[in-house]
Amino acid sequence: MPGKVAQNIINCLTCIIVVLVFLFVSSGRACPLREQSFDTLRSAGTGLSGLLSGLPRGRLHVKKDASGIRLGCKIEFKDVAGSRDGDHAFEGLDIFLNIRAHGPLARKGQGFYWTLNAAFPRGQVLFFPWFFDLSRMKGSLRAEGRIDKGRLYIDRAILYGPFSLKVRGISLPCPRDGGFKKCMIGLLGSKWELRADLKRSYNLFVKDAFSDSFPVVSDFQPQGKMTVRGQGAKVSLRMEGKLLYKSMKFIDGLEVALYYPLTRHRCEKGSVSWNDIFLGVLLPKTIFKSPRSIAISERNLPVTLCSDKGEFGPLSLALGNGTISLEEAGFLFSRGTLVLRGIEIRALRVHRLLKDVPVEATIDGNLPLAMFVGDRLVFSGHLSVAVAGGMVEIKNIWMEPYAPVFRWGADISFRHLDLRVLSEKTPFGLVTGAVKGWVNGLVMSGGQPEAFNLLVKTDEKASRSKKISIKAIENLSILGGGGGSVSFLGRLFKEFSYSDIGISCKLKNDIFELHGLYRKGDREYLVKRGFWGGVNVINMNPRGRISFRDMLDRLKRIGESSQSKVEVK
Amino acid sequence: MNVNRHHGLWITAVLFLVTACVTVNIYFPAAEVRKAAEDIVKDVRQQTPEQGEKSSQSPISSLFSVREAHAAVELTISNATIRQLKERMKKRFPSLEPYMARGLVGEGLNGFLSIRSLSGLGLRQKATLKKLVDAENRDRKALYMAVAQALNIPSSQIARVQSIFALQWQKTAPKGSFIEKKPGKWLRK
Repeated sequence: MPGKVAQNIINCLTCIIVVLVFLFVSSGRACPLREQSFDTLRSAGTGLSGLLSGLPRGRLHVKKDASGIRLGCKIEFKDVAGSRDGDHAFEGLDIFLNIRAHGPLARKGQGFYWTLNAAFPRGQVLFFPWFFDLSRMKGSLRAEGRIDKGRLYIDRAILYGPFSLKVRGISLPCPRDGGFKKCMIGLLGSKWELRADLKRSYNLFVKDAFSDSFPVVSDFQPQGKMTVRGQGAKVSLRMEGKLLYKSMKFIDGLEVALYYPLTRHRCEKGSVSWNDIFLGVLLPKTIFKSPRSIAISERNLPVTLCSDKGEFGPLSLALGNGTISLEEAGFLFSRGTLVLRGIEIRALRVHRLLKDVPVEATIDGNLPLAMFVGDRLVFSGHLSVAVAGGMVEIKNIWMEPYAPVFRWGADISFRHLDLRVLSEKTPFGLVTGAVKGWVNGLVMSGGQPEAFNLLVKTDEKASRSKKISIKAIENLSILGGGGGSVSFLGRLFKEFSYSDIGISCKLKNDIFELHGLYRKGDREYLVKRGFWGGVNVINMNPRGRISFRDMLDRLKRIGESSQSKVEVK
Repeated sequence: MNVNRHHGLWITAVLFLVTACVTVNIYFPAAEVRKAAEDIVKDVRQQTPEQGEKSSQSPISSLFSVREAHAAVELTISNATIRQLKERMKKRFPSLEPYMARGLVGEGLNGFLSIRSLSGLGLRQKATLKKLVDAENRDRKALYMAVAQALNIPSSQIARVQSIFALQWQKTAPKGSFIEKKPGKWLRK
């Protein structure tokens, strides 16, 4: 599609020149071109046919002398509108063209030299999803060249607008034998240079166009300068500036030097470097302790671009006294898919990073490969979290980064978790003993749990005393559907012994199903007493179904007391 | 020759019996989908979004945060994804409504919005409308997938989910909207 558009533009430019030369040769004298309709141009077989509405006003001057012929032509297009389809249109467009040419009429072997000054002071252009208001851009074009032996040479051209584009040494039309692709490679390889202000370009080409569907693009704001150049068989991109995230400095002293090969089977090496990356600004302050302490140890990221893919890495991130490193990331342009290789996490101390982690927890792990399966980025390998004297393993990790609502998920298993360590530093109430279990099919959507299957039970392999405090019993019974109070008799004791804890909880379609694992007749026990006495906590909701909102309310009520079915013997 | 003909008859008979015995049961929970469509569409179209509520969260922050859920109404089918998509559509609807009422946007039989006309709009408005419709259809596509997943409906049956939702979108479309009654036949409400 862009090829067709470019070909149309080339057709149009060529046509204007051909028409002017035609008029010039046929008239041989000054002739006014007042109120001519576009039919005149259309009859010349341009690419504009059927696309335009509006009238041009113009004046053509021709002067013949001994040295040859001089031509001057001014054309004004006022309030021009046109559309190719619903996605490509322009309207209210004013174009002022001033073309001058001179050259010998009869002598062969010498061409006509021409200059073109064009201005686009007003108008709107839609090239969905991009929209351009030309009155804000003050676009103009200055070009000069020659016509010789049926070829149009553009020796120099400068286009000003949201960016400036300078071109030197282009000849049109393309040779017939090479094909359009070869021609475009030839054109891109010519001497051209595009300079742009990063903020203006990002807002115009990225933010305005894509923020409705991808709100995250509105959060970022680059500032600085960008230069793109054609350099023979490659295109170079250079950027200097900084990147803000929600108006906070994210990357400072950013320098990008990338090269894209125009021929197949070639790769070009480049780099992205920076002075500082404040990765913490991406992370919510309510959750992270000191986000600004997170730092990327390297200041340079090697980037290799090939005709069909891009690769970058290695990269290492120092945080929480540990590191997260990435060996390599690859992006396949044709499939639009990302592949991450060699992600390693070493000694990442979560409790030093996150605010709401009351116990020490350290993450290690290898995720050798992450690649897209459909819309889902799936990670191989697993992470291990050493916490509360036990171990948590996280595997089958996935995320959907481009989905309308960001989701991620994993399967988690845990063992030997010391309940004393976990409960001592939480408001839940003291419980001793150890547990094991799993959370299968965990799905988090936009920061909320969407689905999981949880099972927690006493870990017999970890031999610890098994006691549960009154507060913990009350809170457990609140979760289980009871009110959460222990009888007066029960309150004479601070804690009770138990034999087993066994709870399963499933969340699906906003319904929690909470069950005790131990059954006796109709009763379902969340906590079961031992042979010699202790406490039973019975699930008071035999169907076990709790709505999402109800569960949130129960979590809020934890700590408060009301009724509960607690048996003390 | 005769033997061959007999073989052919036998094979045909056996094939007939075999195929006659094969029963393919594909359960489609139409009633549940209809109830979900009614509830979700009604909620999107008839209630105004809560002031100051931010429905979308950046992927990076949502990795770590657990936000309070807004599940004021317990639906037959709901989950975190559906709730958030619904909130986004609810917020977007006031922007779409005037275009629908002007007959510029219609409710298709496939459960998606369709631009019927862009006449009378400036290019800027055209761009705005097209972006709104694109964003709405992107969310709707994700919604149908989420509802299907929640009800264990295979992806091959998504079209049926879409058509059930389409009826609800059409029923609640603002007056003046175009609705596709039959394939390719649009009527103004």
